[in-house]
Amino acid sequence: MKTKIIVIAVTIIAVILIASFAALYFSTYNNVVGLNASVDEKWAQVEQELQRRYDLIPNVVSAARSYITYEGSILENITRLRSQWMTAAQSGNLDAINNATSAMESGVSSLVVTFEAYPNLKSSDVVQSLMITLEGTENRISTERMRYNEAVRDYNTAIHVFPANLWASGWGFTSESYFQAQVGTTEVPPVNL
Amino acid sequence: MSLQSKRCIALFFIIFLLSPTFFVSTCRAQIVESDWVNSIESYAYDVDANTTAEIVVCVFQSLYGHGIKDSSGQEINDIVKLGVYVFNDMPLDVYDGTQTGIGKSGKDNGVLVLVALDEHQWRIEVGYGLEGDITDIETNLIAQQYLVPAFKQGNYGEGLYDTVVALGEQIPISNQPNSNSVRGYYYYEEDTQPASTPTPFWDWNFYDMPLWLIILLALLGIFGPVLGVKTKGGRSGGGGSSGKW
Repeated sequence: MKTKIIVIAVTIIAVILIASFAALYFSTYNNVVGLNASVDEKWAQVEQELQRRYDLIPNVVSAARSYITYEGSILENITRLRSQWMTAAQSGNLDAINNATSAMESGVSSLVVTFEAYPNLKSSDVVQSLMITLEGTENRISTERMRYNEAVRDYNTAIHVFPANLWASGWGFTSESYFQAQVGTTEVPPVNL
Repeated sequence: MSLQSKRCIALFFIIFLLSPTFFVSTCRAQIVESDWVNSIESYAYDVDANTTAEIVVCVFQSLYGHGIKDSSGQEINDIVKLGVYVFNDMPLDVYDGTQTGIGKSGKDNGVLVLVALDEHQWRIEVGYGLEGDITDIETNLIAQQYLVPAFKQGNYGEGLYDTVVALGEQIPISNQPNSNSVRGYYYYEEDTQPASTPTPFWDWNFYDMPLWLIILLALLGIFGPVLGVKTKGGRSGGGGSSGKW
């Protein structure tokens, strides 16, 4: 009789333990999957905005070409950086995209600075509109980049804290990289029209 | 005393206790003349009822010292980043509680007009759902045409009202207008009251009301927003434009 009670008690405790372990295991898994999906989703937003800038640059270059006479190399430079960025984007390598994006951001900044020196160009309606669009694009990129980095931070934290840290590598989850802007390129180039 | 003004005072009381800097809705407008604020509120209410879109105006005295911080704990001093934060992450009073995110959830149809008076900077931030109706270039044109000239003269109310109207005219009438789900408040202002020196609580005096009434209103103020719905609204991603006057 006494042994029977002990057996039942032990069984109940074992079932409770197993059930709580399973609940913890699956809820942790679901949480990590959710955060990982959020990182991917935010990256897609970043890529979309980078693509928007990529599409915009030829318009800026062609509108500026008739005004910029002495500093044509700036336009050639931005066109070259644009194709470099596309190559990097197609490679899918985040480090390469990081570098190419930073380079393109400096290119855009110096382009804006150059525009400041050309009053005729600044007063052109086409160029003004393009510069506003360019500024909007830069703002969108920095916003989506910030959200991506926050998602990465949440995800990386989640897979490095107990108990997910015991299982994350087994599930195939590894740390994601941040999408950093290099110092000096985080600020949107000011467009003073 | 109307229920709204009671709630307003109660809320002010709570805010005063809990937070050094805070945003207040229409009832305590100090920077912009109240006639203009009422006009802005009433026009934005009509836009909300007819199109479901929310046009919100936010007036900061300065980009510094407002105490609004980003996720790393730094005060946000850049008007574009501040716009993104206010639009998406700052809880703002609405008629039945507080709402984070301007515009309706899922539709992302909000517009934020943000100005910082000391720095002479403006920003119009457009929600994802309205980027097609109000392009970056249009926001810039509207601001250059209505906001900048009036602000140069110091006519803040007029400039903001004309800007809000011009923005509202860009938004198409909705097929399913719903005046039951309107936001209710559209004008917010940084609380610029100087931090007062601490006085003993029995000496506190608000609007000549006895302490017990204040406490009662404070409890209403606490439980009103708690019981009120905390909702998530629309999102934006840096669309729009900004400039100086």
